[in-house]
Amino acid sequence: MKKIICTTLLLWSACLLTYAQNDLSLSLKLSPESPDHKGLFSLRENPALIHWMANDSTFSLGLPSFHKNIIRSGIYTTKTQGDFLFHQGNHTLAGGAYASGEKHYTHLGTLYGSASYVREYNKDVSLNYAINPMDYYPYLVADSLGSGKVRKETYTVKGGFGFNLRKTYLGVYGEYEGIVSSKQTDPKQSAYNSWFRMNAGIATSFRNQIFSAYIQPELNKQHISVGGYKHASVKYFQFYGFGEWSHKESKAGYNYGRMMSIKGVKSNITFKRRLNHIEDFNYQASLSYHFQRMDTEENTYKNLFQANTHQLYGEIILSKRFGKWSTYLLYSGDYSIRKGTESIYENKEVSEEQSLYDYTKVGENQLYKLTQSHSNFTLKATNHFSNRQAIEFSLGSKLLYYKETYLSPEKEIMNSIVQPFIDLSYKLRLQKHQMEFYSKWESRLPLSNTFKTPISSDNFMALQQSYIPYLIRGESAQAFSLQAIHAYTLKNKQRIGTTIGLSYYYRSKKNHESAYQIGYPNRQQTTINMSLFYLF
Amino acid sequence: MNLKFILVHILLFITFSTQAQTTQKITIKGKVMDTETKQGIPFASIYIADLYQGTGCDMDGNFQLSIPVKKSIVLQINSLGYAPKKLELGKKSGFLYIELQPQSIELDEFTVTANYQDKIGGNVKIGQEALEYIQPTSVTDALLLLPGSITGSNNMQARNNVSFRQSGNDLSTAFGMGVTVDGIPMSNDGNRVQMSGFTGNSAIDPNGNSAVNAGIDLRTLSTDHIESITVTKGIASAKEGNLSSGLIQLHSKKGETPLRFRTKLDPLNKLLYIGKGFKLSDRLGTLHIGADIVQSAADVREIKSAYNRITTQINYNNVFYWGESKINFDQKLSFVSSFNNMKSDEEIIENQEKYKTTYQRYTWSTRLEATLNKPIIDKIELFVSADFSKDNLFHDKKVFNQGISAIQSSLVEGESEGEYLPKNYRTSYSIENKPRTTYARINANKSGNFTSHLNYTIEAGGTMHRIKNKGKGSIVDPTRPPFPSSSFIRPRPNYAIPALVNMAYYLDSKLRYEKEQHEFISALGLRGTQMFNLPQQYTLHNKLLLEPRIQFSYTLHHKAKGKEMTNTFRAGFGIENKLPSADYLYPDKIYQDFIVLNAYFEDPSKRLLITNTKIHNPENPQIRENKNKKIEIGWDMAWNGYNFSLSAFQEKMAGGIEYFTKYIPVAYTYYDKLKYPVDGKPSKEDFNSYLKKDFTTYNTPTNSSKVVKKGIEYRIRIPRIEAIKSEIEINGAYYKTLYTSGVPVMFRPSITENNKPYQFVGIYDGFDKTYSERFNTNLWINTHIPKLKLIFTNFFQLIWIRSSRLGKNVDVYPSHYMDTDGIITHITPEEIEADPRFHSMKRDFLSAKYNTNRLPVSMVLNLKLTKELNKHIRLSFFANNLLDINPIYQNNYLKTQRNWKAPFFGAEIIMNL
Repeated sequence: MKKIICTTLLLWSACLLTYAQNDLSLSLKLSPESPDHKGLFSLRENPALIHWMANDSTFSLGLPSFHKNIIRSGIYTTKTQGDFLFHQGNHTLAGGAYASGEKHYTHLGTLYGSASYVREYNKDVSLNYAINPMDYYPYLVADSLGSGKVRKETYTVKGGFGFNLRKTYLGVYGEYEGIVSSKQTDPKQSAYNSWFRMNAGIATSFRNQIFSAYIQPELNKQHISVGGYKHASVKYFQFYGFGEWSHKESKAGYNYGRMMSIKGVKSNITFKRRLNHIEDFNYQASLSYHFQRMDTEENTYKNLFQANTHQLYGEIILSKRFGKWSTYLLYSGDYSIRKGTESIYENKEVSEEQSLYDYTKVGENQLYKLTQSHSNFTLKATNHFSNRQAIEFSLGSKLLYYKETYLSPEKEIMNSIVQPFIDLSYKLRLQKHQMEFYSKWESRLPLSNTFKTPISSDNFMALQQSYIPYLIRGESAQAFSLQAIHAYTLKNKQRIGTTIGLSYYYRSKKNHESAYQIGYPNRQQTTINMSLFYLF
Repeated sequence: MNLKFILVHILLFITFSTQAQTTQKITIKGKVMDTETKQGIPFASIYIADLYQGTGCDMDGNFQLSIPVKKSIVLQINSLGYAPKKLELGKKSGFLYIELQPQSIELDEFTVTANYQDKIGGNVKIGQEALEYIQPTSVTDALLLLPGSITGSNNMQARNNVSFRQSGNDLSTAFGMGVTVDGIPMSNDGNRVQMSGFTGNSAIDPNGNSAVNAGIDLRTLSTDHIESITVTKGIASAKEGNLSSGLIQLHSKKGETPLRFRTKLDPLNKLLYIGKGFKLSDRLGTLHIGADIVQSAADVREIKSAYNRITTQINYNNVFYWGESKINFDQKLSFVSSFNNMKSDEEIIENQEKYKTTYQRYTWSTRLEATLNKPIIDKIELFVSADFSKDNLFHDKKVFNQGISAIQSSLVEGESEGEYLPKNYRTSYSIENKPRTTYARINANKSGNFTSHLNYTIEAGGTMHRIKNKGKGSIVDPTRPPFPSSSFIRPRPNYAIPALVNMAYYLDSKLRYEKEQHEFISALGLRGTQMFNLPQQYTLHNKLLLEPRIQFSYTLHHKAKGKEMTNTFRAGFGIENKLPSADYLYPDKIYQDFIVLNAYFEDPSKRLLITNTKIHNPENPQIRENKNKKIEIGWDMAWNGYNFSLSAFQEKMAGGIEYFTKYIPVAYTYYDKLKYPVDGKPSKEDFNSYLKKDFTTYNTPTNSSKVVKKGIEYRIRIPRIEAIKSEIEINGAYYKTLYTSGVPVMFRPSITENNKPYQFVGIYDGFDKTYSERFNTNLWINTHIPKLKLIFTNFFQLIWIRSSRLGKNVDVYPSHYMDTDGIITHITPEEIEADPRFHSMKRDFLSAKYNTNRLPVSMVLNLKLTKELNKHIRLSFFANNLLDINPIYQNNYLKTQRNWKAPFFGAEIIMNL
């Protein structure tokens, strides 16, 4: 969730790929969730296809076109009343800048890239030191001294180059994201997180079908460093799921350090129909497999926790245009499973003569398992009822499933939710001005919730780490969002514009009655975002 | 012998050179222009490396250079904002029109590595393209390009000691590092920090600006005002003095340039620069103005450690003609200041304290260069500069006094009645340094040729350097000491300290013989330095310190596979001296108050406190310069764009200055018990007394620090490989460094016997030694795709060997011991073992302390990417420690551990409008 908030600005920037070259994509906003845009986002994951799109205009038939060069800056704030996720805090304020560009070099290839900088503040963050904690969940680390304000900076750079050898398209892509977070109140904490991804893609066509594949190795490193000054003996809690922990006292210097790393690989195959005419039936499908291996290492070198995550993702997009009407159907789904390993170390004497001790691994447990699945089914219809106006309507439903288990002692947390939604948008294009209005309603309806974890009611930390997130995942809720975008055309198709968005989310029912006197009955979240952009 | 040889050589040289005036010279004339606008480029520089000669263009880009006749010469043309150019000329050339292209990644010649041209020494030039590409925040960042450098911390916050040609670092090296800006040496030798607990401490204000005895704080030098950097790791020219470790020469931006914005962001540093070079008019010259602002932190979570700096520089340049003489006139004003000086952390907030550091430096410098082309003299240069710094640390603090302490008030030795310090109180102290530095140098230059194969260059000159500190020094309230202890310094204000006045004279000559494929170069220099204005009893008072510097090279030019190949063999020997700072020369007296009678009653009117004051003068009139003897040999090979270079060196610094802890015996009357009950306030006569004998310690500056550096540096450059569009540079070094303190170890066991502190101090044969080794390879793969205006670098740093070991060079048993009467007696191990009184003097440490701490082979990968979006905007990004292979290992205490390197990243945008 926090990761989503943190990267919202970036996603929004990616959404603003904009500007209509043909009547199918009269849009200032491209959304990766929308069935008519989702296909473009999936194809652009492969650098070979980016070059193909730039090199061969027929390829893009049926896909939205957009401005390649964007500069954007914006701010974002969200405030939560009632329960909130411990690692996310209850108030976020973020601001940043983003730029992207793409250039096609005849007989050479296509170079593209983007860079962004985001600064973010989160208030009342507790029980977690890590950036993007869900990447390492449940193996988090924290102290018990209360919450604090966390400052974050995110630097991202992405770039790729695609080229073709006759009819075979090839491409390489690299992405680096660096995030630093800090808490300046005692115990002072900092974390440096980096993600580095490389991607090698290939694409070719056979008759009217386009086949593409890519492989994407990735490497993550995160270094956490904590230093207490005021509190002579800070307790550091090494969580291993369900709010449970082992803990250590701070030693001389009051410092604690942990390094975490993820090594992963993602592979994808996509195929798509190549259209001859705009009104041809269009289909696109892709399948991805993603594996990640996570390790943690204490500053005493002990690799206490490891986790392996497997994820399978698939999507199918169908579309057909009938005169002024365009229709789309999207189905996407993923299934992931994470299995954890806990290692056990003993401090053994390694030199009797000098009385020196060192840690040695003596065993391991494989008791933790996390299963998640998300699926999304959306239908969308667009009516371009004039050259200047269009109206879009979509409806669909998401199904979310979450289950954590621990073998001994036996524990289980499970949430199953269905989330129907309706989108309605209106677009208007005048001589110099272009305006778009988006609205969305979403309802969160729990199907089944289970919390079988023996936590005593005075164990505040364990409840905050496991029970409150469980309540939030399994709550009945309603969400509304509105967004308006305005762009003004300068010379040479350059545009400047602004966006403003507002969303409101409230818990209509806390779907669990328990002995725990924790958790507010009401919960609401308000989000406002604004941005300025320049397209050229 | 060396000295005589050099003197004879130089005298012969001068004799011959005056007779050589009739030898033939040619004059090269030309104009340097912008390739796009065809306008002349003011102050473009023309240099002929073979002849060590160069000149600058005038306002219209015109230049004229008289050089000895040669078959062919290679002109190197440089100007800020333009790609450098090399031009080979034959014997006869007409008026030259040289066009320079504006600097761009689009050009094939764009290079981001350091430039090695010097045939006799190891001078390395980091040009504007390389300097920009490495995205520096401070000068230290640029040093990574040099062989043997390894990546350090990512911030400019920590005032890290500069490390040169060594494994590890030390204060003597940092103190002896010479830094010049446009030929003017920078110095903070006038700074003093004299306060109990902080005396001479280079790290008194590690997070701020105050610094002493650790050389120039490189953080205060902005790279944004610099066009290029020349680094001399080995033997410096005789022109350069008061240094012992190496030399960093900074060359300021000048001339006409576009408006430039540069902003750099990374988690620890935020930097913004704006600058522009204006052409005022053809007559009025050019004015380059720049300003930058930096906010830096040592740690993202530390508020107190924020280091903030603002710098501005105005550089005015013009050229006049006076008759046939060309006069270059440069004027520069620069200003450096810290800002947001209030520091804070939780302790300061909790105690409602104030901690403030301020730093300002104003520098004015002028340079006049007259090109006369007269029979005896070609060129004469005059440098004059004045520098005023203000460096202040203020700390308003709360003191929580544990135990009973006395207020130190006596200014004379002996007993006096004292007062008790309150348990808690608020006090403040400040340390103010205001060094005012004036510097002047005159330099004359002559070059010519004796025969068509033999040419020479000779330079002679003198310098005067005066530093007078006008600051108030340490200001402390003796009645409320900020750090209560038995010692107290009643500091002298800095303005009461005599000015440091140094003068130097030098002769530097280069002789070059070239015939067919053979080329010999010799460089002989002699520098004499004197310290004036020192008290007469000082050893250095008016003493002439001579520093001979000799370098030779032989180059063999021949063809290999149809391409020119050169092999250069070089050797050098030199002595460099670093003179002591004001802090080392003039430490303040230490007043030690021993509480000899402590009658503490609840009723304050009955209390009696008597202290016995001992005054120590830590001044050391025998203090000498730190002399570094350098020997260097090397081999450089160049063929078809490939370069290979190998240098071996040895440096011995035997007289590094440090504050050494000295034990001395003290004796005083101690009053312990009342002879009889007393109703009112007692007097000392009411007490039993005895003569108490003990030891005390104080720190005195001594030439005791010794550093011996040995090593081999190597460099391989592979020219552009078209298949991967990359050029490769491999460099590295093996360093073996010995750190030792050249004074005997004195050790007093911290135990008590019969309720008395231990009564002996052991004196041990041998010195504490630390042996350190490092062997590294840095591999730079610079991929440059001009068509895409893209350049990226994979930087691999491999450290093959990194180890340190504490030597068992100090005997376990003392050879002598000192008793409380100050008598030093010889003692044998057998006597120590036989007498229980001496057992404690046996230094018996855990043997693991002497184990070698050897780190395994490690590797890091840093990535850097620069994309030129158009001719105005350049975007860069770097990711350090992207790949970090640091295997686990067992340290000398057999603990398994790993050296982590946290990821670090940042971005930079440069706009030229």
